[in-house]
Amino acid sequence: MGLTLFTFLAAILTAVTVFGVKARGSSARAFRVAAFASVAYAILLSAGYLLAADYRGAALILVRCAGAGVVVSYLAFLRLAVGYPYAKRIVALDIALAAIAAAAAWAIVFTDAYIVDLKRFGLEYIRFEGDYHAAIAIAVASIGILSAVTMVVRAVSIRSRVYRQHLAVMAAGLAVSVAWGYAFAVLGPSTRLVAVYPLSAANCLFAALAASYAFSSTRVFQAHTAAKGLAAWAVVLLGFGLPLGFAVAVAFLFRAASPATSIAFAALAFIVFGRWAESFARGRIGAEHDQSSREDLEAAIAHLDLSAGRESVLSALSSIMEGAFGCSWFSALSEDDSGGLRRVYPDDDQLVSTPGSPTLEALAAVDRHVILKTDVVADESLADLKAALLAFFDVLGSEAIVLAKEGRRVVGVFAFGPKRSGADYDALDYAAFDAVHGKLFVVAYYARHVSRESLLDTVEKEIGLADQVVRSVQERIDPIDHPGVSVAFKCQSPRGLGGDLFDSVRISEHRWFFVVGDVSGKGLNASMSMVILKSMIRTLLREEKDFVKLVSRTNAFIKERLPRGTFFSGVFGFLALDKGSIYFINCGIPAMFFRSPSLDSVIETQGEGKMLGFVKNIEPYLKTRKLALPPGSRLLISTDGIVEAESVRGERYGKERLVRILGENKASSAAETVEAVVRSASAFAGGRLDDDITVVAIDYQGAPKENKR
Amino acid sequence: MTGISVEVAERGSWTVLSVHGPINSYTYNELQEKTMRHAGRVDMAVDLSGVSSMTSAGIGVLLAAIEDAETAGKRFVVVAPSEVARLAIESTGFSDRFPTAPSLKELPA
Repeated sequence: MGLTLFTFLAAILTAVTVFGVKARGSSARAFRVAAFASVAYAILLSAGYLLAADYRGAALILVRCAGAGVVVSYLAFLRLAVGYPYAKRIVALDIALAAIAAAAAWAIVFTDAYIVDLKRFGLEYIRFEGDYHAAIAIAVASIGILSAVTMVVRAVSIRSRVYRQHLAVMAAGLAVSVAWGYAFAVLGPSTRLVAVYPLSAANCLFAALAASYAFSSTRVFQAHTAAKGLAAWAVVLLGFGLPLGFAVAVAFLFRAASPATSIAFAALAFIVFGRWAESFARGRIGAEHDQSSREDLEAAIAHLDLSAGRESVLSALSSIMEGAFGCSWFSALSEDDSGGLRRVYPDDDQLVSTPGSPTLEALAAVDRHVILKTDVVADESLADLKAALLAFFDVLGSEAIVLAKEGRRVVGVFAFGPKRSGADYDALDYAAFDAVHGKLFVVAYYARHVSRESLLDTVEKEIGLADQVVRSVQERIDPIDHPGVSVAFKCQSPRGLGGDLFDSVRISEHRWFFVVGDVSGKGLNASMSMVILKSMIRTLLREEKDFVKLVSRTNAFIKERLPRGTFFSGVFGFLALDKGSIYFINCGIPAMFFRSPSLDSVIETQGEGKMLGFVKNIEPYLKTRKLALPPGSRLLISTDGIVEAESVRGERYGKERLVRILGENKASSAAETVEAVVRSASAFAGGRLDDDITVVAIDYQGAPKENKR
Repeated sequence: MTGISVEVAERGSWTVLSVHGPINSYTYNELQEKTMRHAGRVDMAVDLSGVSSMTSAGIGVLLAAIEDAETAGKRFVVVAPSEVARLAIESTGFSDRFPTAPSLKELPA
């Protein structure tokens, strides 16, 4: 009963596994026929065996049907052996095999050629064999052997290693299946093996499971890895299974005296030995070891010194990767300004994929960031992209790639050459690539956004000398040098490079344009976006006379041209010093305070604003405001770095403190007030501001006398 | 400085990123890395109930994820933003660009 139950469970497990295979095509159809016929065989034979004690007639029909099932299964495996891995239809062969299957099934089920009668007395199973039983058994086994041999021959001749391995695994499964079936099903009833006859029903399941593996796996495994795994599992089975069996047997002895204690003891033994075995297997079979290796690899990549320059960083990464994966070479591609992919390591600057090419489209469309060449060859889910991806692998000569993508955009590609050992990249390599993908992404992003080495040398020297390059751009403004106004500002970043921006442009003798704000992001990337945006605003300012349209076009530029997720929070303004007015559009500046000498109070003036970069067309949201500036008034503008500065206790600096500083510095100059604000916020934050800051103070002294006349 | 933790879990058809701690220029990298892994590939929900502060760095990460999702036709939802996270989102002037669910239980099917 126990063995029959085991066979039923094995059949159900196999059926579930086969249902999980998503392959299509004629080979996959042959596989499904073979697998489900195998499952049917197991269930029919087991059921027939159970019924043979009391329902001989029904048992005979079931066992005959099982015999027909195994014929169908082996013929389907033969079809699989001929056609795998191709989806091509072979109509003549299909018809011939179907005809043979039908004839054999008819002979087995509807005549006495195979089995005449059955009888079971306990474990004693008697089978009255027909005149052609031996001939049928040998013929069926021969089909199985022929299928296995065909698979071996095809495995030797096929070029793809992954398919070669699939065919070999299927051939092994079939060989075990035939041997198992012949031993238990054919010879069993006439030997001592009759006691374990129900196990014969499981014979085809080996072949079905092996084929399921072939249709589910797209990666090769190394023979020594598989052997090591099997050996470790054998140790687990023997080392833990035998003591467990002994413990359960002891419990079984006391079943009559105390059934509950006996069952509880057996259950406890299962739990204890199960946990020991699991713990042992984790350590020995490799999961923890592999995890540890991956963490070491992650740490090595994370510790790359990005300040060393692109060539040095990629060279160091190449050494790490070649050591970890045993690849013969390593290459890095980076998205260039046109959107194509260019090789940056080794730095031959070769354009590998042009913008809009099928390759780039395929890389953009693929829904994974690690691709092994064997995946492309064998994975049906990549069938639509197969040609383009294989072309890409061929151009590079690589066997594995890791993609760095921002959404669909391919920022970079890391390519790995064939292994020095000649082996293919396997499932363990895939897991390791997957584990370090995040770290590789950072390197790809770095390579994408740091310019070429020749330029980088210059830039890095400047960055190394306290961000002079960016600062020089930041400070390249038209100073508001006018007798009616005094303007002071300070931009500061905790990392030297930041995205905060202040710019002013002289429009006419008494008119000045200014912009204050924060380009999102941090460090070098934010600085680059800031420099680009500053340049673009100046360009637009020359072209666009309409204030709202100027801001709207700036928004469109951010949305369409700057990296995804970039936005700008700030304010655009025009100073009309002859009129004593400021016209401004608030684009999300968090703090803009006005102090009038006549009121001697501070008013928050920015109103509601919409940040740039969130929507394609921002024009409907933009509102131009006018602020009259009486002589002696002061305007203080600050980005979020000040307002949101946090103390060590987690308190925000907030606007109230800004207002207080403004009130305390009524008599101070604009420059002194700006310094006071920065000093206060910095002290509040414990001497360390986390965010970029920009503070601007505009003191209006009144219109020039010549204009008053 | 207090660190950030970003836990990734599956909840029905959603990939949920649960963020705890401050999102600022020192911590946003982890959030960015994890959102970039999933944005535009799956329906993503970012649980901000455990966020203790959020600067523009965090807004930028969310905006990029939203744009990736829109491009790929995937769904993106911010879940139960804490008060500071809600204020940071509102400060953009485009709260409606951040689809919000009040709790993980109320994620759309």
